Amino acid sequence: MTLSNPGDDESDRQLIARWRAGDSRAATSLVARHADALARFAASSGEREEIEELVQDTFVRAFGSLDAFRGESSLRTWLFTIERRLMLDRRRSERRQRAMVSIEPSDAATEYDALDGLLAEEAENRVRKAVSNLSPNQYEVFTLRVEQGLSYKEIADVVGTTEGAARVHYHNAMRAVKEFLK
Amino acid sequence: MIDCTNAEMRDALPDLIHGRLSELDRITMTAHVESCAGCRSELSLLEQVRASAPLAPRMDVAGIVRALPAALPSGGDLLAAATSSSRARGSMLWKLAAGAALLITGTLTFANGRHQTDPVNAAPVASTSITGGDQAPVVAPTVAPSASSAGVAMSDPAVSVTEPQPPERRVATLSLTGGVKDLSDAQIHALLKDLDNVKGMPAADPEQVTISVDDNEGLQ
Repeated sequence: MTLSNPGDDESDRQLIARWRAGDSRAATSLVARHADALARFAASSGEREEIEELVQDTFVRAFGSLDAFRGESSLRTWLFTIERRLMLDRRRSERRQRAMVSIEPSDAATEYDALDGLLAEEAENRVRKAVSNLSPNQYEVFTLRVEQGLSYKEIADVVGTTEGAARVHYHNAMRAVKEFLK
Repeated sequence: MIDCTNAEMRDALPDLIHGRLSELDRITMTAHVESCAGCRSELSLLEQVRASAPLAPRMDVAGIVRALPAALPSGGDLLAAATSSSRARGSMLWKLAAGAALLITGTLTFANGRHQTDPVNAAPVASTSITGGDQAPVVAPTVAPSASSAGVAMSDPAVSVTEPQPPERRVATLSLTGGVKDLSDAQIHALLKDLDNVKGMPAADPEQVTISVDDNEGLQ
C-alpha cells in the first residue's frame, strides 16, 4: 500500500524553506496544518491541562531547531516526537512534585474517570475504557495508529522502536480491545 | 467474528479511515471491505475508537506563531552567506589594493617628474646622461644631493646657521660626437699604446695579384 503524507498543495519542506527566507506566513501555514493534530495527540496521551501551552512549546522547540530536522521522517512525525518528549518531561516533573506533597483524593482519579464525564454515549465509554486498559506501549502505538493515522514506520520514529515492534504492539492492542468489548 | 486473514488489508484499515491511501489502493480496500465481514467489523471498531478520542481544545494559531523564534539562516545558508561575504570582501580588498597601487604609482611618477624639472629639489638620483660635453668620455654615476642635505640647525641658537648652498650638479657624460682632436696628448698616447697592444690576425692569406707587363703595349 502506498501512503501519502497528510498535507496540502505545498509540502512542509517548501513551507520551511519559505519561513527560513523570512516569510512569516509560511509559519502560520505550518502551525495551522499541524496544531490540531498535536493537540489531539496530547489529549489522547492523557494530557488534560495546558494542552495549548504544550503545543506551543512543541512548535517553539521545533522552529528553534529546524536545522536538526533532516527530513528523514515527515514534519508531523518529528513534531509528535518533540511533543512526546515534552509530555514525558512534564510527567516526570509532576511525579517529583507529587512525591513531595500529600496525595489528595482527586489526584488518585484515573484517566478513565476524568474522561468519563466528557463522553456522552455508553458505547463510546466502553470503547474508551477498552483502550485505556491497554498497556502503556500498546496504548501509545494504538492511539498513534488509529487516532493520528501514523504508519508503523512513523510510529517507530516517534516512540523510538522498530517498525516490526510497532506492528506487533498494534495487533496485540487490537486483540485486547476486541476481547474487552466481547 | 473471525478476523480477516489478509494481513496487508487489516494493516491498511487505519490508513483507509485517515485517507492516506492512494486512489487505486483506496478503491481496492473499499472493494475488499465490502466483501469481508471481519474487516467491516474491525473498520467499525476503529472508527468508534477514533470518535471516542479525547476532545482537544482548538488551537490559537496566531498566538503560537507569535511565540515562535525569528527565522535564522540554516547552516548551509550561513555557509553560503559566509562564502559570498568572503568573496565580496576579497574582491573589495583587491580593488582597494589596486587603487592604492595606482595612487602610489601616480604619486611617484608625478614627484619624479617634478624632481627632474627642479634641479634644486632634485632627489639623490643616480643618472647617466649622454651629452656632448667638454669632459673626457667617462661614465660615472653621480649622486646629486637633495636640498635637505643642506641642513639648518634650529635647536640651538648658539650653533651657527648654515646657509643653504645650491647643490653641485654633476652629471656623468659620455661623448659620442667628439673626435681625436678633443683628446689631450696624454690621452692620445694612452690610446695609441692600447692600440699597439691589440693583437690581430687576418682571417686568411691575401690572394695573389698577377700584373703582366707588355713591352710594346706598356702596362695593361
